[in-house]
Amino acid sequence: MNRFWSLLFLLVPIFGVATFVLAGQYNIWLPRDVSTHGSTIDGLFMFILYLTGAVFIVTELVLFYFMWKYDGGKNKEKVQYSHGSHTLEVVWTIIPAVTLLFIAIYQMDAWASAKMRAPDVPIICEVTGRQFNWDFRYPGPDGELYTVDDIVRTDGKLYLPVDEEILLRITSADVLHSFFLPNLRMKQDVIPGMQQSMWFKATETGGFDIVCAELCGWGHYKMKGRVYFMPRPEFEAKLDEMAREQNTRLVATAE
Amino acid sequence: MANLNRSIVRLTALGGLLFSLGCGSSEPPAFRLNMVAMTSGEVTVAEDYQQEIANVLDGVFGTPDHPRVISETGLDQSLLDMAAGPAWSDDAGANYGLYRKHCVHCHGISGDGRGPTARFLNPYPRDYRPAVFKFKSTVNAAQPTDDDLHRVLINGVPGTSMPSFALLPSGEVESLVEYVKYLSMRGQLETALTNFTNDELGVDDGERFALDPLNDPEQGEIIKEMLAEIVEGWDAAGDQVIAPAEETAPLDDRSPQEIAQSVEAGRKLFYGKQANCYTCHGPTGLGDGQQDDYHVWNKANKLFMDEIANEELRIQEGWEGDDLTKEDKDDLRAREEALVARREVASTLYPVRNAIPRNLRQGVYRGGRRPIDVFRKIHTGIAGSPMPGIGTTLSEEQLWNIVDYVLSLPYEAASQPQRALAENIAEIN
Amino acid sequence: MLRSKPKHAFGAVHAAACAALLLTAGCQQSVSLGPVADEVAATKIREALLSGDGGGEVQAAESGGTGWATLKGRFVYEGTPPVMPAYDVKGGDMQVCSPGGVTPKQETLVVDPETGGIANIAVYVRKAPRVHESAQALTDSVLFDQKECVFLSHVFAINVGQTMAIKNSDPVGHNTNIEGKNAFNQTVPAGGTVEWPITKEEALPKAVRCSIHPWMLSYLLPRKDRYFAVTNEKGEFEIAYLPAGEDVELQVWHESAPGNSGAVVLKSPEAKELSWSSKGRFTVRLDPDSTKNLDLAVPSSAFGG
Repeated sequence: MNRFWSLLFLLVPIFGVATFVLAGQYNIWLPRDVSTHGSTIDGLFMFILYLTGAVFIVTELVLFYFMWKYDGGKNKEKVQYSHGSHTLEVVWTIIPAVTLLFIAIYQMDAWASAKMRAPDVPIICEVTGRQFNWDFRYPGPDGELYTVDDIVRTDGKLYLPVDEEILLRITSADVLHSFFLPNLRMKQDVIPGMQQSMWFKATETGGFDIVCAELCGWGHYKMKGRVYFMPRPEFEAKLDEMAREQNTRLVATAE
Repeated sequence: MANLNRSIVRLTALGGLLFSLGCGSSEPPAFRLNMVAMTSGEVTVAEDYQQEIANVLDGVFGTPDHPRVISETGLDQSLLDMAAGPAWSDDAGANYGLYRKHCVHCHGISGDGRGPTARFLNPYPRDYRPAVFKFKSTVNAAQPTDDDLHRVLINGVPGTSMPSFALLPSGEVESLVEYVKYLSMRGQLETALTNFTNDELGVDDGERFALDPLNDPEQGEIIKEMLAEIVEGWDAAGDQVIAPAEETAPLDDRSPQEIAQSVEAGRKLFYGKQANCYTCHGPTGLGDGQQDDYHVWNKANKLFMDEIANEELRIQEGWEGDDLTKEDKDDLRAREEALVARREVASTLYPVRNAIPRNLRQGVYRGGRRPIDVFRKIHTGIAGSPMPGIGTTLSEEQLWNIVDYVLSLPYEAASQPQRALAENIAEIN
Repeated sequence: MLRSKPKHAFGAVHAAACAALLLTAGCQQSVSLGPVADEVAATKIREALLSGDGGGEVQAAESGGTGWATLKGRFVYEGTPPVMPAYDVKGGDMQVCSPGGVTPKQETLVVDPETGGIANIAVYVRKAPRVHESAQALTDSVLFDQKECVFLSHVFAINVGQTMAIKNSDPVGHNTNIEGKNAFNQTVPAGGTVEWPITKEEALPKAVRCSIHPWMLSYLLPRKDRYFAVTNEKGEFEIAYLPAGEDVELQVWHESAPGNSGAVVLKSPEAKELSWSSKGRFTVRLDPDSTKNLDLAVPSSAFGG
């Protein structure tokens, strides 16, 4: 059992680092980014990860070293009480404070462009979270929401044009939800009674996940959806098709 | 990935184990009887009959892990096998146990709408057993078509907790549709067997006439007839679809004036003495009219509880009666005993809720927002709910007028007080 | 210090309760779930059902009698006739449903104060061995009216094949919601009539309601032959052209009989003679061309009192 505890605690940084190093191979790393702003978010993420990672490794190694060196089983010397070092306290308070301040300032622009500088484009769709589904309302030909020609879909499939600024309005019909588009690096909590906005520009066509990222009840895990990006003409055609379907008055009877 | 999955599974299993430490041994899930029906009648109070009914149902339909179908039902065994049993996936990625994966926690193993999460929902999840479905294309008393069930799975039911399952592969949706039909048919046969037991069987002169198709071929025939009638109902659904005539349906390219005229005509009908929509949906359209009625699912429970209360009263009065004979007393005691079982069943029921007419100004249409969906509701009513149809009285043109009016209600200024008035916008600009 | 001790004990109880709650949170409640199928028995039943012939032809009941007879009778209430309260009328149609402030009386148990006759008891043959040509089902249209928010036929017996002409004699709208196999739910406009063909037989009367006026209630009894009767206000009924010379089983139903089936159960000596069962049924064997008269006293206990 010599040095058991110190070695055990050494496993923490080893596993911690190994998780990140191997994550890519097990496909549990960041999902593929298909947005224009995603690289900024990922850059920030990587910057903070490396920074905290370095601090983490150093701290853990120091912890390990002390556990190793002052193992009770090995040391026969009397324990001495130390009040600590004032200088050290000041140093390791100021350095993180400065670092955090730096991060806060460094990310400001990314935050502002993701949450404050909404593009001047019309709302292309209103997303409503309800227990337990994402419902979508497109403004229809008149471009205005909550008019007769709105197209409302409850099948969890959101269709959007690719390569253009998208502005979504997000609301909740009941409780807190969070509209999360992992591939677009976008996540927005939605609060009943409030209207949130989300904007982004997708760079690839195809279908990507929509999930609810705020525990909203027992059916939270069911609040999945899919967002499909397509070229503008295809998107228009899709809207037309949905509008036609919504106006169905007659059905072919199976005779 | 596989390793990771395995460790997640292990962790979950450990958590589950800890969580369930206080439980007794866990049995495989089994179909349960409709205890309200079982304890409502006089005869089926006897547990022997309950056991026999359960056996016959199992004989015909199998168990939740191993559903079986008799070919007469027209159900597809392979689709049922996909939906039934515990949830798992094979190496090729095909999913099984879909019902338990996606549906059971609300709709329950027996399809009784009493899964563990059901109590917390409003509206309560559908009980499939009476085979009454609200959102369908067929006439009020008919069963839904496969397409109707399919539509509900794809679109979910807005305004309720029913989510969309549009992201499942189409084969899986089909399998769930089949399983819902299976649970419905099973429930219908249970009702038929219960009625049969109440009507025809019982104890006479100390002799109990058992429900025993094994030794009574006549009963076997009767059971087959019951099944045939149930299946016939489902098969006939396709012929009972409400299909409005092409000539009378409004065109897609109507002018705003034409639409306005139609909406106005619909408004007159809505508040008129012919269609009487306002009596329930209220003079405001907010659903604030008649709210004292119940859906059939709730009503069955309400009648059951009322009957318990009445019987309690009657027994009490019975004991207060003069010169009770021994026979009278035995009778009263037997009735008291029968009440014990009923009270226990009643204690498991959810609070009964009134059927609140839809607030038509919200623009939430549970049965679908296509004009045809609304047309069908107005034409034949909504099965299981107090909502009546008016299709026998009004012409199709008039029905379409009401459809236009109802679909315009959410966009009336009164429905959207937050919208700026046009004249104010003009000032601003 | 003294006070802290019970506090500790209290805390321990709490902790134990919490632990118990946590540990049992995942458990199923096992109240009144009823029996589970016995697999062995079920498999045998399945095999028997699948074997096809099911033990050979089911023999048709032998028809032993000849000739026809009439059954008459009267149900008389024993004891003080109950007083019917007024309907629980509320809502916006008071002027129509409660004209002049007078609300119609309920009809859950209507007893004639003079004769003691009980109205609205349904008496009908369960399975007629033979049906006389005058007792064959009719195919015409029968009026089913409502006025002052009351269904005018409280118990409405009809033939399969007949059409209900559901009329609304009120100046307000009604809807008629029929339960059971002939399920129907349509709005009947003020002064209007809606036709509804009856296609399926029922073993027991089914409730007919109006959702707009939830207190409105009557019962529909669709039968395949004319061997049915509903007692009039004097409690009398008559069924003619019944098969004579053989056993005929009749069902007696009243909405206020206890239990959910509505079976009227009589235990008097004369009822025993008719082998009156707990399902509210009795059996008669009539002589050809005779008229049998039953005088049946119904104690208040038959209505649970």
